[in-house]
Amino acid sequence: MAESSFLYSYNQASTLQKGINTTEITLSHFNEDLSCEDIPCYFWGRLVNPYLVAKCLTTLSKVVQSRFTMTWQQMMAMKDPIISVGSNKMRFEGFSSCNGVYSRLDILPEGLDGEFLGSGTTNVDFNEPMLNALNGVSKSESIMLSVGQKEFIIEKKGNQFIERKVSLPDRWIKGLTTIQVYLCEMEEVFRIGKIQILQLFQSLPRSETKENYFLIFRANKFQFSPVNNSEGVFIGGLHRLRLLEGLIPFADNLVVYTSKESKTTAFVLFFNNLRFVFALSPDVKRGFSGEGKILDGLTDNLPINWITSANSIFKANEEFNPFLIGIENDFDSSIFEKLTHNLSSIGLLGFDLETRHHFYRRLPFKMERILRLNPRLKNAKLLLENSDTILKTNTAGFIEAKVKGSQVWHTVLIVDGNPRCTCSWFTNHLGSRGACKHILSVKLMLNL
Amino acid sequence: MKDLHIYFQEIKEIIEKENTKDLINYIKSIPVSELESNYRYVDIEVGDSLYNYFLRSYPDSNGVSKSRETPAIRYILSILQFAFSNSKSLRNLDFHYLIKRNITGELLEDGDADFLEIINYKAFKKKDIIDKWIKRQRFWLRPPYTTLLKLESSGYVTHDRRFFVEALVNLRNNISFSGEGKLYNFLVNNNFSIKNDILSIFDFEVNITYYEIPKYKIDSWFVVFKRLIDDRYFTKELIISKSIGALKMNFKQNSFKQFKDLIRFLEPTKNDLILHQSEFIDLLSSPIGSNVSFSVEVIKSFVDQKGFDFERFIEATEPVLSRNDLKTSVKQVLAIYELRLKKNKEFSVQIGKAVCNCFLIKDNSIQEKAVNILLQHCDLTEPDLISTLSNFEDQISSNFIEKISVFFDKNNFLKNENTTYQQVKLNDKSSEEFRVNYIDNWNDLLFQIGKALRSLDPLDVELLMEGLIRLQNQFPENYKEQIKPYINLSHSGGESTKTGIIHNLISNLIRKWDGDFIESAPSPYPWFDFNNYYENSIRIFYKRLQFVSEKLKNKSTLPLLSSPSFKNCKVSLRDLTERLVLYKEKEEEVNALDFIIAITRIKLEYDSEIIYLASQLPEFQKSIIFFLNGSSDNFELKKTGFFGIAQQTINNLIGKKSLSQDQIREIIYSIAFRTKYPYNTFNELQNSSFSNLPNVVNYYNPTWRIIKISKPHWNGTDIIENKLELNNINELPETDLLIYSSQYLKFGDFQTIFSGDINFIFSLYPNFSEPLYYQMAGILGFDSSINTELAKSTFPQVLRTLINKKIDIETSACLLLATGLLSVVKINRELSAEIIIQSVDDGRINIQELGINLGIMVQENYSPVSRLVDVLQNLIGLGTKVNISIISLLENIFNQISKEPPKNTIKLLELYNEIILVENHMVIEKLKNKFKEWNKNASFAKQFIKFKGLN
Repeated sequence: MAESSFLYSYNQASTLQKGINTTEITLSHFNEDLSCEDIPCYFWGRLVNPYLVAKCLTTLSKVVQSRFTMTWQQMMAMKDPIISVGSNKMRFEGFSSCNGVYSRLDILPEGLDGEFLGSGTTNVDFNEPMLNALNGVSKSESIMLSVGQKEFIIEKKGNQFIERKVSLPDRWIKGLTTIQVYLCEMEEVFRIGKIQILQLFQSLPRSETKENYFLIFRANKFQFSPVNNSEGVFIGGLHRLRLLEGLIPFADNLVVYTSKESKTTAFVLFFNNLRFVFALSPDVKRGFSGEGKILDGLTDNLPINWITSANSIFKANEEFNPFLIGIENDFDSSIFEKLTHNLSSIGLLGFDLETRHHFYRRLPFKMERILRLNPRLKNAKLLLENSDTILKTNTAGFIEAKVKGSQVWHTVLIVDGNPRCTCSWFTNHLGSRGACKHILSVKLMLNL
Repeated sequence: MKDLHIYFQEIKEIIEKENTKDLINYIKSIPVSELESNYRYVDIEVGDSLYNYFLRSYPDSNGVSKSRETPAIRYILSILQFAFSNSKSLRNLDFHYLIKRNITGELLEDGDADFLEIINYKAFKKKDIIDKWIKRQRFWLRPPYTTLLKLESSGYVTHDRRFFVEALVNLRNNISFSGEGKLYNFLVNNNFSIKNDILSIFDFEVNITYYEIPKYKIDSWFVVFKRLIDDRYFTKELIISKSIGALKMNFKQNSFKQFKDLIRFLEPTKNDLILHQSEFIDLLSSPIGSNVSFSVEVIKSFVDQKGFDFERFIEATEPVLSRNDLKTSVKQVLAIYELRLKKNKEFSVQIGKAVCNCFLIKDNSIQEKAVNILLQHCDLTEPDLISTLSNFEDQISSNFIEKISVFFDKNNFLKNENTTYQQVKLNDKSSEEFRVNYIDNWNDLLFQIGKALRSLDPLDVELLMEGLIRLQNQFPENYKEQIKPYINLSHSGGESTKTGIIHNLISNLIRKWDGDFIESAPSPYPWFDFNNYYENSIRIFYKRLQFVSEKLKNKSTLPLLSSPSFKNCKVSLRDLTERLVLYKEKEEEVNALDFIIAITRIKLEYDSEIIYLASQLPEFQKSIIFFLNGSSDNFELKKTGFFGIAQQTINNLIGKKSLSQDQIREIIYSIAFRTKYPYNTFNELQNSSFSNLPNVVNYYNPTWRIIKISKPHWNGTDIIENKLELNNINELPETDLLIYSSQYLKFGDFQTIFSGDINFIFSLYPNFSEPLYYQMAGILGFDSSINTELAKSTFPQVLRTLINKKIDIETSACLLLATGLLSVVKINRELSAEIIIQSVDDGRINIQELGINLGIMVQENYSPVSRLVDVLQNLIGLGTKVNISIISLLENIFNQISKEPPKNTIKLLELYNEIILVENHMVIEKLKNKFKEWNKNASFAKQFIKFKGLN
């Protein structure tokens, strides 16, 4: 599988070392943004709920190692989660190899007792021995967590970074750009108590399911049913929820969010001062990375300096509501929404379902990534540059254009804002997975 | 760079002389820069050519297979291969694995001078890549552990824990270690192994399973560990601790057993085990059920030891007690609790609270045990405990709730009793709200082509057909250019279970649209005669598409009579009447099949305004419309009147036999009658030539039986399988126009059916689908244990036709539903359960018929009873209406069961008892006699004691 991903290397392996009274977890990290690499340690302190954190991290690693559509050969080497430290919180994020499952552990301020030495986003080394050691963490253990080494001195370039080289695939960054758009759209549907969670997960099918299921509530009981009722929540690839099984007995609450339009669902497990977000794509064969959900928000040619300014504002705020920041900075809310889309499209923004706030990931600010990560947009621009988009009609509420495809010309119609195209992408997905390059080229042409 | 051919020739000549030294000198003579920049070509092109030339066999002049290969040539080729490879081209070495076998570690280990010369030839930098290359080898091609040790000490290989431990474990398969103690001695004489590798066995997924190899007597790893402990290289505590640690690893499930076996093999005493209590207790939270069971089993053996942390044990077992997959362990934990409580009540509240979790498991014996612990050993006035218990009220079986309910606040306890099932909102898609909007412009028609090519909704195809016919004069000049993307698209995607045959027919219809008009006969397969396709609904769809082609060819813009008026594909009677009037006005012939499908799709309703409209129609058509409208129930058969069907068209439709116009009228009358009155007798056709055919005069009541089929088993014995067989019908129609009669296929005719076709097939007969369900029961219900695509994909799709539809679930649908409830495929059972819930609420299911079917199937061992138990268990508690239906269902099942009930019938009885308690229902008299017969069986008798009012 060709991946134009970048390699990152850790100076040493993450470790879990058991002491007499305390166990120490040292997560080794590598940041693509070299300015952040100067920060040797982001956090150093005690975990308030070490046992649960260990369980959550183990589940997260299972998500990262899981695959639901790919063959073993296609599956690349194990990917390490990304950690964002900031606003007195710590967020570990990762995708399944097929990109159809997103999971995130949020350790809230009350779950951490220590020093935040810097804010940033970095990859952390999740090596096999450390994961195995995490599996063995017991309830009575006290654990110190260090993201990076406090006394660590960066080795100069040229020195060997031999521990492990892992590629952070573009798929992941693309997933990060898309997932937050889905999360933003989602609304809370069910809040499920401890006993009901246990009961619900008992009915999870043991084997892979081909049919779609719905989470429904009837007769005071939540259950997975192959038939929807009016308020059911769509769940594609239900068996993927089995990844959560190890956490279920410990969860205090489960909140289910869904976006009915896009058929994506998120399950948020609450454990005292931890939250575990688990989002599913509509189908096992659909990864978040390929959805193109964000494309419609990128067809405006916003000035680069606006995007750069927004980046600075968001970076400074770490957690924010774009609408409120827009008001504070005297930006039109629709423009601010587009700015948010632009920054999301390079993976800089995440979304917290509970607080309904965005959070900032300190990844490198690389505008060129917008096109690299969104090939449909790049191809749409190429169509424009090569004059392969011909506008036939542009009247109120009716736009017709011919756009060059492979050996044929496609008809693109935008009637009352509703776009259609004769290409196979549109025919297969009817717009549910983002606009095709032909529609995008017409939108770019007319600045729609 | 030299031409590759020259390389080939030069090297070939050297190899033929079998002189390794010459080859090495030749290799050294090649400029390194040339090799590095062109390694890919040299390696692949030259390497492959040489490989083929020397190692591949070829036929000589007499056709005898020969080869140029000699051991010396193979050796030289190996050296050559390695010399030409660099770190980037290592992958290519895999292709020549025959050669590669010769250059594994043995060559290095034995210090083969030629080979080492190549390896150490600095210009090639082979030493840098040897480590990487060896570690890339497939498991069976890797050097043995003994070689690795030497390579490691001589600096060719760096130590890698996983790589080394995998090789170490594999020593057991090395016959050079034959003889008791030989492997052990090798290890203890090798400090490196003990220090670096042996304990890695617990950190990586390697196989140390205990097995004997009597012939070679190589020490098993279990014996090795025992001796290492005995000889004090390791402590028993360390090995047990490591084994428990391995049980917490992210290994595959089947890798854990060996570590559990090792612990058992070491025969730890209670004193040994208590040292590890904390580790075992932590293991209770493992998601791997077998590891939890093991932990419970071990803890049980030392739970009475002094120093056992019982409080932590209770805390850790709480999540275990709600695990449905660990019923045996749950019972063991309850036994441990009970034993403890009998001795002292110190933790009675904590235990009581933990025990409540058992109520999440729907198992009467577990719930009974839990209730007994609570009643006998816990203080049920303790507010904390009662508060926890209250949370589980809904989960407690009605068999026990009475015993425990005294402790609840009465009002609180009854709070959910009146809960009713939240009705799935049924959308009657043949109401005005769901009227179809026909396509009225070219642009929409254009995009409808794309929709029809991909959609599994028959409506999308119907709308396309309707639009193509009606708007054919409005196509723009450049329409061919516009539809070209869709013509290309129609070539992609073949027949699959998802797309089905009908989709292929539609693709073909579009594909043929390359000329001026759509050609007729859109069969995608020139070799395939759809006129004889075994499934008549597919044939009918094929013929409809042919008719569309003909209409386009003839420039007829009159709509199809059968075009749906509503989203559920039903046709409004007024639409049909108006269309018939149009046909009359334009003097265009009515197509019999089109008319018949319009009738089978008709929305049965009374519309007074139709009477005037229909009065303009010829007598025959008028009589049909009046009958369907309810204006007249007296079916006076009209034998005269305009019904313009060209004989050619008739022949095209009827298949084998020509039909007269009178016969076609009779057929249409019979279809109209059966559509309106599915289960009545149509006496008017008693004298017709079709009177004996199913569903013409009489409703065909399908019959079936369970047959025993003997199959040879691989072990030489015969196994008996119980299958569903539909009884054959004596006479079947020779025309497709008798649409309700021609679906009764003969046994043996049943083939496969694609899930993608189901919606299309069922859209043809929405009013009377019994024959289709009969056909489907025959195909899908034949074997309850099949787990094929047919069962996993088509069966659910057919079951879905019974959901959200106003279809009465009578005989054939009941038969299909019964097979669904007993299917090995879980989704079929789940969907069948949903159908019961919905249809009971709508009052559209014959629960008695379903019960009888299930009873016969259970009695005849068509499938394990446990499948039915699982389904019914989940239906309990969804409201009184469903509960009462389940009682009736079970009573009808019991009635079909003989004196010797099949295995697990007792579970059905438990369910029955539970549900009659909830509904305060008494056992019916008829069953009391049956139960008396069953009472002779001890376990049944035990169950009957619990029945209220039975004794």
